[in-house]
Amino acid sequence: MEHNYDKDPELPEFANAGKQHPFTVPEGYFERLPDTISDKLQHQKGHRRQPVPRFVLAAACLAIALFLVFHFSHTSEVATTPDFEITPEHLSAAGYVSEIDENMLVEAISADALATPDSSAIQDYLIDQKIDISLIIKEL
Amino acid sequence: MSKKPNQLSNGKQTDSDEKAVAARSSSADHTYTDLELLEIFQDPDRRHYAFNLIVRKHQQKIYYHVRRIVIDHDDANDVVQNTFIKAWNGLDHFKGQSQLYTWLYRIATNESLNHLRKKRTSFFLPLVNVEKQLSESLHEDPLLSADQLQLKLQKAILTLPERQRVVFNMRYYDEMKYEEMAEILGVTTGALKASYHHAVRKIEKYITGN
Repeated sequence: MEHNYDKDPELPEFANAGKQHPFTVPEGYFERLPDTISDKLQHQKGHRRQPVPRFVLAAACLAIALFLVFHFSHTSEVATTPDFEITPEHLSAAGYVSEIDENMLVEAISADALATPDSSAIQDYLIDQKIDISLIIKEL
Repeated sequence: MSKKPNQLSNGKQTDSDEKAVAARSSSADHTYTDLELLEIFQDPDRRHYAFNLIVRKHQQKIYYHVRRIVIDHDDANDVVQNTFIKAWNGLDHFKGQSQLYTWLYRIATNESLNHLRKKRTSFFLPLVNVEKQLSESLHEDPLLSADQLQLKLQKAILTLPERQRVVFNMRYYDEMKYEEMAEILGVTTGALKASYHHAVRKIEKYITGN
């Protein structure tokens, strides 16, 4: 069903009562209210913060911008040119040495040993170069 | 103690202004139209004087509009004062696109609803309990001169949803046009008509049921 809202509905129960609102105010309230508001406005005026001048805002923005530029350029400098040397003590203090696996070290040394040429090859090299082996033994 | 109306001024008011304020405050504040008052307000030396007249002209309608929403006099007093202080702060930016009193009504309505919202959050109460509390306060309010029938109507109005209550009050008590209400509440006239219609039906139902 379509409603027609153009005509306001009535409240027949209150037809005789009229549209009197039931609220009252303390005596003289409306005579005092403008002055109360006036006092509040004066109080507000007294405590209102002065607006910050534009040049102060501009100077503040410039100072912040300069600080940020200085801060970031300084940070990148530190990152690219370290002013200290990494030593074994640093590594040890940082706990890196303790993390090295001993088995890995043994394997690496064994590999080096395997890569060493055998004694016959050394002897051939010495004969080719006409080096006296007895002199070398004497030196050792 | 009641001060002279010209005490709203900034001290630069002329004697004729003082006399005019005194005369108007006692009887007919409505000599100036809102448009004229706004023109006077533009003059830095007379803005307090103009605002005094604006307050005197609209205070009663604004007060009762607020009172019907927040019920309690002290709450209404706070809300009305905040309304006019906000109006003072915003009057420089008032473009005159709407009428002054609809603009004041809009501020007052928002302030009233915000007040109820704050009350609800500060006491951690759901909406229905605030309305119940307001309904109960009707019995205790010494500033209520209602007969039983009026009291019943107020209780019925308090059963309505917040916005619908505002719509009902503006239409029923203030006899405001739907176009003006639409301007104040920011909804279409069609929606307002439907809202008022439903509000009246609910009130009827409440009254016949009780």
